[in-house]
Amino acid sequence: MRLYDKEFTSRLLLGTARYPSPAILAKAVEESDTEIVTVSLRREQAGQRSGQAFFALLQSLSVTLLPNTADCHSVKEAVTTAHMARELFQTTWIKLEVIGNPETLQPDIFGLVEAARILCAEGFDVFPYMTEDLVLADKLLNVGCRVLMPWGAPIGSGRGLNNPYGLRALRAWFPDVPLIVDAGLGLPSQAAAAMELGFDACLLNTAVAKAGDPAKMATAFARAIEAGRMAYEAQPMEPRDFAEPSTPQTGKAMLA
Amino acid sequence: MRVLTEEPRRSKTWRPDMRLLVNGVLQDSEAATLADLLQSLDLAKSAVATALNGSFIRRNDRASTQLREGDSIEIVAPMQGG
Repeated sequence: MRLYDKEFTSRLLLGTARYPSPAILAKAVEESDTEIVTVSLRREQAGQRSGQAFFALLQSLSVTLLPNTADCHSVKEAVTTAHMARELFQTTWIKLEVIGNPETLQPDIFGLVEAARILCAEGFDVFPYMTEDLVLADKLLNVGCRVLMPWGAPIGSGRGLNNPYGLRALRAWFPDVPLIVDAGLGLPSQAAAAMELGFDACLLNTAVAKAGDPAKMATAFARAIEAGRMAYEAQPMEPRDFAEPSTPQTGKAMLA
Repeated sequence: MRVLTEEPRRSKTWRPDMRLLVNGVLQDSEAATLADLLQSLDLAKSAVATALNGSFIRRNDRASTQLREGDSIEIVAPMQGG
């Protein structure tokens, strides 16, 4: 899988928040062979220096970092956060979130396009957290995004794919753009379903971090994502309404 | 009663305390520049990024960024995120 100018084997992107401990986060990343993790920027308290310890942990994981602009509600906030992330993490990658609603955490798509336009022009590799809207996708690509990240469902909800139709349409309309389902997944089967639709990868956090055994769940997601991808590449059969015998009817003994 | 007649000793760079909003907390500071402020917080060499009044300030520009009464400074570090 190619995202901007980097090649990856794993199609699972993991968030780093809400784990019971840093050690369990590290275990989840390592055991699932995750190659990309998301990170954020938050205020550093002089006395606690918790960010420094976390940074050391990240560096020990040898993964590609995808900083986010989580909880930014305006274009200015998101752009400034991206600037700070670029300096701190030494990367042009940015998961761009411009939040428009406090309850659903759905993106402000107008602000998202504007922030993406600014950041792409400045040389950032933008991963926009978006709704599954064809017109929005087109506008984000036009301003320079080369990866799209539609939500499956609201962040942290674990609802799975709220709109498989919309996601399928997005895949069909943009066959060559890397598409990542970002947010809302609760179970590996939901991630497999996204991959069977032809998505290139899945990004999740809470479903793994809040599982009883995060490392085991991360591995379960990694395998489901791999299985879903294989199924997509294997070209699934067309469903039908009525039965079609799988055992040949010819040669059946007359026993009635 | 002892009466102080002398002015407090001051260095050349001494300046009266000013009130700054650092990561959302009001505090008195003598820091002349953003670099001085980070030094006083023991964060000069840490993995942090800074903003002054909502605008990003590059690491290389911290020493030349003067602070003024009422400035709002954000100092952020890598944290867990989704």
